[in-house]
Amino acid sequence: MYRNCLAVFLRNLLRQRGYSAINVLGLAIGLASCILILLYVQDELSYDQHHENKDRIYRIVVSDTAEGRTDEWARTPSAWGPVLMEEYPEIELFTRWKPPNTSWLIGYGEKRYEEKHFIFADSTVFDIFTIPLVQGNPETALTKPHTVVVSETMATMIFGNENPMGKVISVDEIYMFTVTGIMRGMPKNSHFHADFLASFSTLAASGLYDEPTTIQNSDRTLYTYLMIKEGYAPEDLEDKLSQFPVRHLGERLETLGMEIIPYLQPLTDIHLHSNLKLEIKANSNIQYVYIFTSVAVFMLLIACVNFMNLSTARSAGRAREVGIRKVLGVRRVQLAVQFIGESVIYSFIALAVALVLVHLILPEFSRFSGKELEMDYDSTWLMPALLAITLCTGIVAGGYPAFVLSSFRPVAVLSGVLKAGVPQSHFRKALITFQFVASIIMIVGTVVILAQLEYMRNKKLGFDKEHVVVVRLPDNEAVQGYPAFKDKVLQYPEVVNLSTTTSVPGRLTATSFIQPEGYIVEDTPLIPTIWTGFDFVETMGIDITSGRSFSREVASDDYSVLVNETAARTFGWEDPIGKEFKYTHTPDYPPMHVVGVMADFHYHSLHQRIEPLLILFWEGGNTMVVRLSSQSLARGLEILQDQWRESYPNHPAMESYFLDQDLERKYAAEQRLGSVFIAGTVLSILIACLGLLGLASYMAEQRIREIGVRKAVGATISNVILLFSKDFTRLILIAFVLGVPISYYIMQGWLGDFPYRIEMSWGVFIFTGLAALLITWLTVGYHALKAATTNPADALRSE
Amino acid sequence: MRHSIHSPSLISIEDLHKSFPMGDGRIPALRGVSATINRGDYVAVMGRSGSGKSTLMNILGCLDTPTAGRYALDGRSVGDLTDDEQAFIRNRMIGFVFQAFNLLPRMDALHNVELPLLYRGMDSRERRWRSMEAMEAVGVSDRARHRPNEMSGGQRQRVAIARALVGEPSIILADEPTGNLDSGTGEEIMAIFDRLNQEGHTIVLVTHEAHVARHCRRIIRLRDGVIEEDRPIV
Ligand SMILES: Nc1ncnc2c1ncn2[C@@H]1O[C@H](COP(=O)(O)OP(=O)(O)OP(=O)(O)O)[C@@H](O)[C@H]1O
Ligand SMILES: [Mg+2]
Repeated sequence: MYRNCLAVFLRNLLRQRGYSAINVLGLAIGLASCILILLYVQDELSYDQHHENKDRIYRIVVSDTAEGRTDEWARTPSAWGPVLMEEYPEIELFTRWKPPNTSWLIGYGEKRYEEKHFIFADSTVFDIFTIPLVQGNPETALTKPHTVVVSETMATMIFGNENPMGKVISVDEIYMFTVTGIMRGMPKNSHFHADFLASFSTLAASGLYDEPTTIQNSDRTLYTYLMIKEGYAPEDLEDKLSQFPVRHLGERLETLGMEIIPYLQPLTDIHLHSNLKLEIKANSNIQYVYIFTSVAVFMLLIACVNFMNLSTARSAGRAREVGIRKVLGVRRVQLAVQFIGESVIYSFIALAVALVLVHLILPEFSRFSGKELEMDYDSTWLMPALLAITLCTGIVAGGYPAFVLSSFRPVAVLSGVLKAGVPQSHFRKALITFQFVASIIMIVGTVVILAQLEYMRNKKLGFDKEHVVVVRLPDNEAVQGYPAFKDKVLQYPEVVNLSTTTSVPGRLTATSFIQPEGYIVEDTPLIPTIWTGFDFVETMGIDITSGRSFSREVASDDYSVLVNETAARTFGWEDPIGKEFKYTHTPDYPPMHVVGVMADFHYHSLHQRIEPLLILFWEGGNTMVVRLSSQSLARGLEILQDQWRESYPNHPAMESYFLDQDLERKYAAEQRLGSVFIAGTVLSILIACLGLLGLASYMAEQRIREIGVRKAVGATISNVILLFSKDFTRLILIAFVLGVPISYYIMQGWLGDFPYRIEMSWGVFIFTGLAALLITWLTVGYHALKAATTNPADALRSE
Repeated sequence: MRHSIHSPSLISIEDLHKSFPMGDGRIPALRGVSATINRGDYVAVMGRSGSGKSTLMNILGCLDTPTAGRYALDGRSVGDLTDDEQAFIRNRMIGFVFQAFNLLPRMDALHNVELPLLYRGMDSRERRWRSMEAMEAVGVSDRARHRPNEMSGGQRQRVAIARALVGEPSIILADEPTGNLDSGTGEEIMAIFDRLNQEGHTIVLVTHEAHVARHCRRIIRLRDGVIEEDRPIV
């Protein structure tokens, strides 16, 4: 029997070529989108999974609360690791991980390399993490000071064909390290990356760092990872840990009114669930994994719905086949199996097409997602996942049509009763409405995301982010040379102004214990502070609302303070000028006075509210901000570089970036989301249109006689087209009524995370509705027009 | 729409040709048909199966266009009308009755009858009023709320005639109106046509049966796409 079914299937496939193509193409697009998103999501979920002990590895993170404000830090004070190890027997091992504040200059022979991924770690790093060594002994590689393990790629780059083991490299020209191991390159899906792992003991040995003898809270220089002994529950340890800060710092905490609680963060949670202060690098967000997965499922569903729709629509045409088979005694189950089998075959054909599509798109998609994605057919998950998804798609898509078709009663079919009424047209309308709802949600989502992104990019920040170059002053010498450098570059009209600072917008501020007038020590909040030289306010284009900025004319300005309006408001100062600040823990330091109030500006990205901010005077900041003339940006940068080379021959490469570009990167996640939504919307509309097209052609066929009659009694072409679009238009209206509140709710939730956000206006929904209508009319229009212009005589003759 | 010049001949066709594409070539269905039909005429078109009767009726009803020849309806040349103008003519001047009734299955009788008026943009109350009158005239006003599949063949054909009548067309064209009915019911339908003709309607109908043709006052006999005979019935 099944051989015969296959023959029937193939005949139908070929005879109804257009219909088959629509079916396969719709499914293929759905599958391809789904596969791409799956690759992305799988990569996101694979972070740090390659460590053998991953289930026992935790990072210690610290939450501190003072003044009603809680900060959560990815870094811990440096002494915590060893002390914890001593006090808690559950801990098997710990390792500390000290990233560089900036980059280092690596030297070997005559060669020099700027290196950002130079990390100091305790020697236990190889016992805890799975970092395979190609050469060297993991047990001893990092035990001695001045030893370093280098990644394979860097080793080849630096040493070429020489054997790197035992070679000595210089770091920043002063520190010498002996290579004691070569490690395999770290996988990209890892929350940290190191090309050089240097022994932690080097730090103390070279005076870069004093191993603290007491537990404190103020230094947050490194990351502490623990490996818990097998058989111990992390929750219990976490409970005990909450007492740790009180035991060691109780008195101090009480005076400061602070609470510190350490937490254990599972290694594999870091990439998707951690967004703390001072992360190694910006992590992803599980939210986006959920959103992307939903989009994938959504698109596949839309494709399935298409399939169901077209198949049931066609089912009337196959009623006779069903009738005859039933008369011949074929059971309903067998028929259902036959039809599901057909749709499974369809989905496998679609899978083949989808794989071709994926291979075409993957390079572009990888670039866009910033990942190195590939179709690794040998991996344990890909093939099973593909097969499972395709099989499910086939069964879901074919299940309903199979149910409908196999339920036909042979008498009804063969006597022709079925032919007049199209079966299950309500269900089909519901399916189409579902597709419209999905499309409307996607369109609204896209419009809102893009509008918010546009809003964030163009919002006035309270300073002029354009034409500003940020330059790192790599060492003390450079800082000292700054005044001379400034005088030199200001000779050129292309350079408008410059200043030094400890931080720039978009980067972290320090919080310092500074006590504003009217506050007692116990109440003093942590206030974000930056230290700048002269002309910072002018260079950045920040408005001064009262008072003045730092001035060379006033000798006492070494002890002057600028506050922003939010700070003034927070301290309850009507007239902040002349108010006094003191360092809480340094009573001998002279008091400082407010000389100016700055209009509020967005120091951080628009994901954060404006906080109080102090600017203190200090010329020693290691960052330089330079405003260039907007007319000759490239020339300005060239001048800077030339002057830099002359002034700092030791650091010929000026490390710099444009402020606006750096700030732009803060919105990368939204940008990516926007792109995914654009692609998702276009594709899901495309799939839905394919379905509409198929359905419209089917409808035109079904209603040809009706159209003939209507034309015979005087209906014009436009009457017929209207008749045709009316049905679809009604469905769109229903979908609109359903889709608007759903998408409003979803997008309102998304916008809720932004303190500065757009208002969703009716315009968005009206635009969406009109877009949906227009797309539908264009899709349906072709068949409507064709039906409307057929000769009524021809229409009425057709059987 | 051009204003009509009043002339006694309602329909005038001259050397009408119609052929259909068939495989590589074309097969002729009408090969030079000329005739005039006057107001108040009651014409039976007869001929063997395949002789071109339906083809001729479709052209007269503006459901199809001739390959060559002239067709003037009420003094206007139909050949060079646009699609919408033809729709206008079908709507105002022609009432067509089919052998297979061609009622819309999802509408009740009243709505089926209303259809031509709907496309005139007439308001619904007047539409309904006139439709009920038309249904009364053919004796099916008691079936106004029935759907086609809830009615007998005779009733369906009456509804179809009511639909043809309701717009007060200049001419009623009927292609084998009794073809799907038993002879008794066929006679009832013919009685309606007789009465309509006595009231002044121009009627052209196609039939195979002599006893049906005998109701008419003129007979046009086709053979292989040409008029073989055109004579009054005495
Ligand atoms: N759409 C068409 N395509 C091809 N040939 C056609 C078409 N319509 C009619 N014909 C051919 O034209 C000729 C005349 O057909 P027509 O339907 O006018 O005959 P008829 O006299 O109405 O026959 P019957 O009494 O069987 O209804 C026939 O040979 C027919 O096959
Ligand atoms: Mg015929």
